Amino acid sequence: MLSADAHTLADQYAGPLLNGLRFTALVFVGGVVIATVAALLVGTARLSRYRAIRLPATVFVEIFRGTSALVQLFWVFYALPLVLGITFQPLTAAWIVIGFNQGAYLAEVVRTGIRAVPAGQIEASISINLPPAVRWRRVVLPQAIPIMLPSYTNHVITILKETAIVSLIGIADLTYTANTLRTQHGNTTVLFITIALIYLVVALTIARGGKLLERRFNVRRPTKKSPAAAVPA
Amino acid sequence: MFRDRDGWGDDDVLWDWAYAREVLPDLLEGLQLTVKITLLASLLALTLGFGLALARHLKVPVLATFANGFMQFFRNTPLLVQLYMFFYALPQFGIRISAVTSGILILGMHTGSYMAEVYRAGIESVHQEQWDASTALNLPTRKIWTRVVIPQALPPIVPVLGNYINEMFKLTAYVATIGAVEMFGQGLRVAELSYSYFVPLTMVGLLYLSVSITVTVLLRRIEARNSRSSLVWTNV
Repeated sequence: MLSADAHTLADQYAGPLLNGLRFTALVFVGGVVIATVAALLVGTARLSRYRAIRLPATVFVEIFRGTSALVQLFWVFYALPLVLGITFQPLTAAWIVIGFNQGAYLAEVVRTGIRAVPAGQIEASISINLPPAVRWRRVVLPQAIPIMLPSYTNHVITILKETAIVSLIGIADLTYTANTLRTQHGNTTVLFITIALIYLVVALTIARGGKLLERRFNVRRPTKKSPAAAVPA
Repeated sequence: MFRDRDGWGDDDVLWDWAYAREVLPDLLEGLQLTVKITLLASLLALTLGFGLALARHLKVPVLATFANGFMQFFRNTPLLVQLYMFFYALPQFGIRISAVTSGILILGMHTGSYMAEVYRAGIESVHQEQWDASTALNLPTRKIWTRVVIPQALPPIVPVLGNYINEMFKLTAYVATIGAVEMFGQGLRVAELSYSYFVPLTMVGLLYLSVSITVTVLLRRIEARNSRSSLVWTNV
């Protein structure tokens, strides 16, 4: 009986896979937090007028974008401890690598988002004597965030997908669990399709959330066309 | 090869040049396979991406829906899971494909799904007037595409496509997880033989870095030249 089979399969696999999903979520949330903070710091540092601040930020971006997260994870987990003399917990290594790797990509999003704010806006806020903190909070960021949001959402989805590599250093995430169950029971196709669908649903939910945020942040600006459109034909 | 190493090398120096020189040929051999995988997968991605974009643009009945689902799957699931699915699940249906071939096919489909969106942007950037003029001139559909649309859609997206190929070059490391001995796989193999991870893994990282940074610089140059020529175009 197919349905009876499906039931026992679901009973057997639901628990472990759910547990795996919890670890995936743990790596994902930490990764998003670190990536966001790193991106804001590094992205703004790259716009600094001081070379001493710009240079390390550029090096950070080039190094973490220059190799894949997979290679970085193995380097941090297996090679770096030999230099520092301390070993990383797998979760720590995962957070650092995924956070810094996508943080480097996001730093470019932050940098270009801020650069896209018209210079006149900044000049105007200086000329009306706004303190720098207010200028950032009320003028620059409200205009930069809507520009950054679509790319930000894409990179958050990339972080979700990148979490799968932590299975290779022994974190029992969704991919690790599916792989273990596969070696124990076979059922390779069912297991991988199941976890692929889980990743897909989570990723599409993130995309949906991003769209909602975009709508929330997108302040309607008067466009060039609208005055003409207002004139009755 | 099986020298006793504690990761600190001889005399407790972290970087052992003799050892680095010893493993370099293995890593370069791996780099050759990495480049081969990248080139073949790029070829697939560039073709497939255009096909997907075309199917969606022309709203070909069944194909467009298939293209949508295909792209959603490849863009929203982890590359690692895609590789595992392909490499471990297909043999259950009697299809056996080597690790390298699986890697090429999956990387091609993965990157092609992203490139489809790039092609779409390129096609949409061609002005409506160009289509209208082609219709007015009674050009056959095939000629409209090959003589009017593609020559205008392609140049601006070349750097973006190049960027995706560069990204894919770095992603080839993932193929090591299903057993291909490309550069990352070689690095791991060498490291495990000598119990020394620092030198080989650092060298692998530096090799990826030098190739990808070189490509990035080249692409930036192409982009700069492109924007100069388009400036001339708008001045005409």
